[in-house]
Amino acid sequence: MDPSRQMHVDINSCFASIEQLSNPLLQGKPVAVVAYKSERGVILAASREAKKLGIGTGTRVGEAKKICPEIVVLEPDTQKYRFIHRQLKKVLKKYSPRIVAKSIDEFAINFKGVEGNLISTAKEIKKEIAVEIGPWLTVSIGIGPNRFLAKTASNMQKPDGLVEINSNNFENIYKKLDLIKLNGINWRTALRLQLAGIENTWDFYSASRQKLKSIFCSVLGEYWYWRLRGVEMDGKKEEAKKSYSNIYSLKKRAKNRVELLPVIYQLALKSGNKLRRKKRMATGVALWLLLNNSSWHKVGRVKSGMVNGWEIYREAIKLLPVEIKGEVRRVAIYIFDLKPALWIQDDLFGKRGKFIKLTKTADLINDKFGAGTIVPGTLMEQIKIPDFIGFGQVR
Amino acid sequence: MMEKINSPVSVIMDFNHHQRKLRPMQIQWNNRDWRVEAVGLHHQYYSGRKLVHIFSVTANGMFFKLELDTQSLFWKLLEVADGSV
Repeated sequence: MDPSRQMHVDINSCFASIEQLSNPLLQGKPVAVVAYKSERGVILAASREAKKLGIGTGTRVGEAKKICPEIVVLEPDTQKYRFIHRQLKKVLKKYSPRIVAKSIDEFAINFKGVEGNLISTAKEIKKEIAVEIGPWLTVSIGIGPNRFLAKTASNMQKPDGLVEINSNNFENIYKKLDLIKLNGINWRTALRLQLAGIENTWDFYSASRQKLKSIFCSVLGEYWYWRLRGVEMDGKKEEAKKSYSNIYSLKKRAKNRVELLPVIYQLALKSGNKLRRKKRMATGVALWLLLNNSSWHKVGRVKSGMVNGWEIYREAIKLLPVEIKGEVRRVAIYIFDLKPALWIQDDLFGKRGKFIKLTKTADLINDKFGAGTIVPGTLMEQIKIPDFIGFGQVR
Repeated sequence: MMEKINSPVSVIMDFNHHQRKLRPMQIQWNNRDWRVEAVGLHHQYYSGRKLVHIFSVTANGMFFKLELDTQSLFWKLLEVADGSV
């Protein structure tokens, strides 16, 4: 196994801890941050105190209140969480320039080529977080020879943990570690592995490459073989990303097309901003709706690539059916077939060029005066959907 | 219980040039003066190109979320809470 030079930093009970940090009156009390305050609303983050009572991410507000009627339920304050994310990144950057934000509350840090013992560095980071951000905010730090093992280590001790997986202790750790605790192994995969005689992580490690390949029926088996041996398999470059997606759960179920338009617009803008930042364009767009008992999706393609949210919105609403059969609970937009936006294909009459120029200006105005300053005319009367934070990788 | 207020408020603020720190000292709200005891978090964000500062403070067992608009230099009281359900 290579030396442990990868670190994974994970904020404990992120949103709930930040709420307790900002409001000291909530410290020591069970707190839950929810998508929506309604009884059926789902908890996004529960404080340590709430977790001790068995309330966690995914618990419904109604259930949580039955367990603990005193629980303080709050809606997310996205600006606050983004601020803490940036503060934490600032702290971490002092220790290594190679940082990847894996999500709003997780960072992967590469210490290859950086001198020093990582256990003492991790202790220093914890101290600095307490000084620079606040002592209430704690992080679990994992250290390992690759990103995967560093993340696995960070999950082993919560809250305020510090665990290293290295060539001396990995056997002991693997023998005690359930398959389901490995990031990327869900209960279905764990079951498949168990049927093949792999009961725990040590068995998983001991299995041959051929055996793993046959269990996974793909190259994924080989990836797992190397991942468990500390070889870096997860540091793919951004360029390799083939699609971007944005998903949103509706507070009130939508029954018709008109109610869905502002949501699709917001999701398209988010996807478009990502394209703009990455200087890429997409030639495919898919719209997905989760209805009461079923899901629906439609895929569309454009010859000349879409370069901004307005174009994505225009293409996405073409996919939307005139009549929606059922109530929509969740909406997602996927954009795919991503290419570098080196040039933009205009149409014969120069209409597209004008449209892109116009939307570029609208984007600049929205950047200056705030999102939603300029919206398509069809959405003038529509309510704005709140800002939201996805759980995916932050770039 | 948390209550959204969203209305202008009078605030006395202190700026310490040695520490390069600023903090609200007193809030005048509901015909009462509230002396700030602790600043839980001071964060800022851009609304377009306008920088907005948010101070989350406690005073006399109450929580106040204050907004300072750096363009108009006006204060707004966004939320008040007493730390209960």
